[in-house]
Amino acid sequence: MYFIGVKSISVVCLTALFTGMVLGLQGYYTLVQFGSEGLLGSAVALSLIRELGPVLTAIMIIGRAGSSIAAEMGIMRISDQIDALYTMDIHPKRFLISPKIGASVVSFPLLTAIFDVVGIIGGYITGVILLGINPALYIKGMENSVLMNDISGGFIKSFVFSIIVSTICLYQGYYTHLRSDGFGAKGVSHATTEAVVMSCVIVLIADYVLTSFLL
Amino acid sequence: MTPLIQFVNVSKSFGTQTVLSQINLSIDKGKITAIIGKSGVGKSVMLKHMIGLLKPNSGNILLNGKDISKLSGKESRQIRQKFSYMFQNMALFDSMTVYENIALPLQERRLLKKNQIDQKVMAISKKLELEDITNKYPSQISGGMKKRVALARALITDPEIILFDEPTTGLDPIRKHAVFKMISKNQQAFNYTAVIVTHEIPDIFYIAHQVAFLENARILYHGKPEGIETCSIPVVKQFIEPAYNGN
Repeated sequence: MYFIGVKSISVVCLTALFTGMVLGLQGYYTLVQFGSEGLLGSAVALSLIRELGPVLTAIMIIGRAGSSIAAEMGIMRISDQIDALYTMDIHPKRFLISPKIGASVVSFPLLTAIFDVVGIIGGYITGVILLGINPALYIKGMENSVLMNDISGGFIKSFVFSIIVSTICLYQGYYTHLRSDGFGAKGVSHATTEAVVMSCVIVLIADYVLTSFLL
Repeated sequence: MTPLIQFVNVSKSFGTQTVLSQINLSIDKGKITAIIGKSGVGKSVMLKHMIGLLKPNSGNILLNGKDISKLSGKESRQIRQKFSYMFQNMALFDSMTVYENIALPLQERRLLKKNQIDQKVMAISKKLELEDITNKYPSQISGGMKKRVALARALITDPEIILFDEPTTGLDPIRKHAVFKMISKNQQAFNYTAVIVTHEIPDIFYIAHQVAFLENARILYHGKPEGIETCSIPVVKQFIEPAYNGN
């Protein structure tokens, strides 16, 4: 939990801040053409809460923790550490895999929430402080447009993404020894690459599927 | 008397390479059996079959007369709890300290309190001269120390059957002798069954009750250590003579 959750906070906050800021920037210059810059708060909040928060959080965690998990499992596999657990009658899946899936399931929604909050602050910095939008308009717009459905939808996505990411990364690392495209360190590197790429692609596919059901 | 472990017509191949071919071998309870042979011949593969890490392509492996492939999940677990395995490459958990590596099997079984585990770990660490490095990580210690940590982890649970995969490779002669002496002394005290894969001849012959020679996917000799010295099979003679002649 500490590695997947706590240590990802800084990268999630950094990503969220600049995502929110660029959303605010792009949103402002688009909305001002229609005289609707007052809707910036709604636009930033809804974009983050419905889509960018869950997806970008997942992608940041894939890059940070997912790759690490895949590599760790792969190295444990090729150095017989997983076999050693088996010989000690310690079930490798219970000892290694379940805690990581559990930590992901808890961490993803929490990090998504942090992303959303920091991203909205980022949008506020750009829209209100730098570009001069009325702060009350920004916040009121957000309050009026964000519904509970949007927030719960975002959390449903983050929960699903947590299962996808942890399962794929753990699977790739755990079964490194069965790869045909490389053994030893090369196998681990291929497993890690595939874990990251596959996780990103499937998160994006799942995002589309979930969005089509949730909207 | 039924042997403790039996290989009955066991064959194993990896792709097109046959490693074991119709192996028949009995391991007696309460004895030390040494499996010797050239490097890469399949000795470790045999050992891994005994604990179920590998499954044969054909044949059966019996434990106390029961086919281990037909055991239920619960029975398999009970069997594994009687075993201990010392890997050739140590297989230490590199994100855990020496202390944590040795204590792990006891901690996961949850049968002892923390202070009891602590006592056992420190006792075996002292026996194997590891007490000064218990807070170090495997990457911070030498190959010989890693070997002793792996040995300590194998012995900590007082198992009934211990499988040693080259327990003394990389150790200096004094520690080699100490490890063999400890295996033999503990075996006499606790009457466990030991199967040792090793190249250390003739040293192993002084502690082993039985010796099996594996070559070309077959057991060419299985019997007492004294018998192998007078074995007339050319490849066996060729293997053991240099050890006696100092070549």
